[in-house]
Amino acid sequence: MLRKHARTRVLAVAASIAVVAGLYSLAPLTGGASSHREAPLVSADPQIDTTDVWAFVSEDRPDTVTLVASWIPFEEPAGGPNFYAWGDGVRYDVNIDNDHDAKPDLTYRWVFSSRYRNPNTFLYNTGPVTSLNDQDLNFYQTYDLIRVNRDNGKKRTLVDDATSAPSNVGGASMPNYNSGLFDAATEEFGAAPSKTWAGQSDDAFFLDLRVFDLLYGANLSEVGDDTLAGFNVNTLALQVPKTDLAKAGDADANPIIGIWSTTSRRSTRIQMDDGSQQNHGKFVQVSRLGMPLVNEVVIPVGLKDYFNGSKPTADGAALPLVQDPELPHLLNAVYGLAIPDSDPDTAGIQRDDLIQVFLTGVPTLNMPDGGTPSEMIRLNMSIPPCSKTCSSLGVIGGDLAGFPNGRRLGDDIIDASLRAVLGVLLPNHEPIAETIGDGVDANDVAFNGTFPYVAYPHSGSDADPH
Amino acid sequence: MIGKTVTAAAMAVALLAPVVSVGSLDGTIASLQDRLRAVPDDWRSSASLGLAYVAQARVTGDPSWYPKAEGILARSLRVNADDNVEGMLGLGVLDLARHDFSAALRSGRRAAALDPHGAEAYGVIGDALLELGRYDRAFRAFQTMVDTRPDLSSYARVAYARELVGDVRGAERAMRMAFGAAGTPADAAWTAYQLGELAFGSGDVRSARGWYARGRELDPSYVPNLAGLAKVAWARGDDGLAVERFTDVVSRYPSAEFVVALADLYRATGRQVLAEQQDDVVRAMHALASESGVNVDLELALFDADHGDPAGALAAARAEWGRRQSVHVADAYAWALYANGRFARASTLAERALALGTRNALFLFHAGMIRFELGDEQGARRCLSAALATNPNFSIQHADAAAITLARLEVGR
Repeated sequence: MLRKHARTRVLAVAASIAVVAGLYSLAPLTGGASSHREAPLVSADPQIDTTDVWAFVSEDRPDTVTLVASWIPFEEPAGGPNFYAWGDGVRYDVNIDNDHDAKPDLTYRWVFSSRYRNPNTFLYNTGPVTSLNDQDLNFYQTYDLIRVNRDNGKKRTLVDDATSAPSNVGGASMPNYNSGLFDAATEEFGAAPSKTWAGQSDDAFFLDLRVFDLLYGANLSEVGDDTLAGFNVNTLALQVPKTDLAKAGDADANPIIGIWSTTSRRSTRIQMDDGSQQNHGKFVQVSRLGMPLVNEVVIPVGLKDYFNGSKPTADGAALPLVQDPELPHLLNAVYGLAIPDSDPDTAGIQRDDLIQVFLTGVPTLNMPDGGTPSEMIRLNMSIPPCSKTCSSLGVIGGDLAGFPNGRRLGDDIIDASLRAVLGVLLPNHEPIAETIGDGVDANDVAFNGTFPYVAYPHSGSDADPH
Repeated sequence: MIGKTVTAAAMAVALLAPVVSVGSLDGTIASLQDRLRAVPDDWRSSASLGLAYVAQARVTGDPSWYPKAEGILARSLRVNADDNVEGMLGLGVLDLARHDFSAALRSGRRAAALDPHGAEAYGVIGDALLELGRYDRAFRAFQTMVDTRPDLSSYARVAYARELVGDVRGAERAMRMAFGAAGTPADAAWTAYQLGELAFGSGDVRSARGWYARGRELDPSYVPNLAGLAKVAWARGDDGLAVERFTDVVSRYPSAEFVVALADLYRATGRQVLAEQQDDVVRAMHALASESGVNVDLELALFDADHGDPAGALAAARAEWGRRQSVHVADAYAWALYANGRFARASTLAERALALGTRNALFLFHAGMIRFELGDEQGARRCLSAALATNPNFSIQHADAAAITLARLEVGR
């Protein structure tokens, strides 16, 4: 329970900083009303801790694109009596760049409000809950979904006062959770129709964090367990026609889009000049996430705060980090493996292949003409969902509909990313680049076949969810 | 290429798998110690262990963890002296815990120079400046902190800044924002306690009770909320329940503040022997803290002034005033001077204590009693009635004295 960026913690590279953060956050016990006041220096902040973003052409509605993003890592299913809530007033944004200048053209924004049906109790539910408007669902959260045209600043409220699916507190309290609360939380809007969903889900990411033990020579025969099995997250999902996302509404002419999430919270002024205090400070971006593993593998520990507050337009400065990432050097140091180089004739390490995966898109696949290098998921919406060529390794596995062309829930990000970093896209790569992996090739529970696709959350009454 | 290889090998330490620690602080400390036995140069882990020791001191109320923290943080900073933000922040946190605010300011500034995008360093800087009495600069640091990262930690500091300038409602608004941003039950319980204290401090016993109770619900192991409920029981006239609760509090968490409250409560209910036993406990705690490098002069000044050692109080207050001129030190200095019969000088210091506009009933009571002794009846009446209007339950020891003195002034009018 004591962590700042729990996902970062799992991915090893940030190593013990999360432990440090956790210790800062221990609420000081000393009261000291008469002397000096102590407040936590860093507080655990799962509400704004983005875990993953996904973007893919919808398999069952190929004229639409589905965008999914998750927050609040490591939700224990039996987390009561205080379950997992969105941050009130926080801006949960999914941004789209459809003209490749690294600036958002569109933002889909979810903003939540907490509500209690019975103000005299803080109980999550006061009896069995069978529907989203059940009077026994005492605590619930509603949201507005707003579409912001970032070019002219105009906002349109797409959905008003929709209800987020609550945490699955267990079978006794929520006997028909999956159909009555999870499925029921899908809201349709617009003509096509478009769909939005918010609530608790299984954590769709899968990995064995021990794969990183490779870095210091541990026994790899131990991998193969999904570290995230049995944990839930809070998830937002959106399904809209491709034409809503494409530049000028023309998905045929402009099929490539960039996608990333940002999370912002409001600052506040200590003192107003006129002596009156208001809470209307500016919104501050406190989290940013696009491509998986960038924040964990590419961005050094010391730059994480910078990255989380940064804009894609500034990513050119990160070029050297991608150009010459740490991991191959580490494997060189520990195992003597050759450091991959996409252009051995030029001095220094050149990794054009990684620049393409992380910053520009891959030529003929999802690289737009004349785009500004920037870190985001790039999806070529004109590539249909796979049928015969499906591979959880995505493009590396010969499946152009998968990672790094967008990201599907089932894409095996760890295996694909590690292989790419070790040079599988380059000639003369080491054999390990074709085989390295964490032994976890699929999620611990099956995804849903229809929107919002993420799997149902693990139940709070599951005695052994992991 | 050789240089690059060396860099990579050095990096291997930083890239080691995390010390996974979900659960107890003891467990965290044990796994960090294991890690450091295996990889003595893992400076992140030694920085973490230093912080774990500071946390352990707070959780156990045992300040002998502070020297241990100092040692391990020094080790972390020896291994990496160049860009060790974690080690520098750890040092700042330790300095704050030991009330060495000038040192904390230096550590915080070094950490901020290493990582200007991190909000934590501005917290250390602001906390230190605030305690040094440099309020404008402190508030600027807090503003930078909340503009860098609006979260529980920075909202809570905004709340404290507003409270200090007398904006209790604004403080409550900011602390509610902190409550809304709490990520763990423990953090939420801490914030609920702060909201309870804000309400209690402005005389709203009912709201205070609600927050303390909410905090208890969120994290029953966080003891201060029980102390809050003990104060509520006393404020409502149920001394028996108050004693019961305070006894429970101090048996579980020996904080001097709560032991003082229990002693005062025993004294107020005529149990002098028990009160003096608790006084001795407080003195022992102050001595132990002092031995572990914690500066307790401010605490000593107030305690000794209230417990029959005016000379000791004045010496401690003077020493602290030499180090820093915060409103809290001004108030303690004023009260120590009062205890020594030096009312004119005391009055000057009491004015300093109120200069920010803080609505602190104890400050107002001290100022009122000093004015009373100076024969300034109007000033005394104003301060004492302001104290009681702010919070009629401001002190177990002094609330009655304030009311009685005010009544005498009204009669003599």
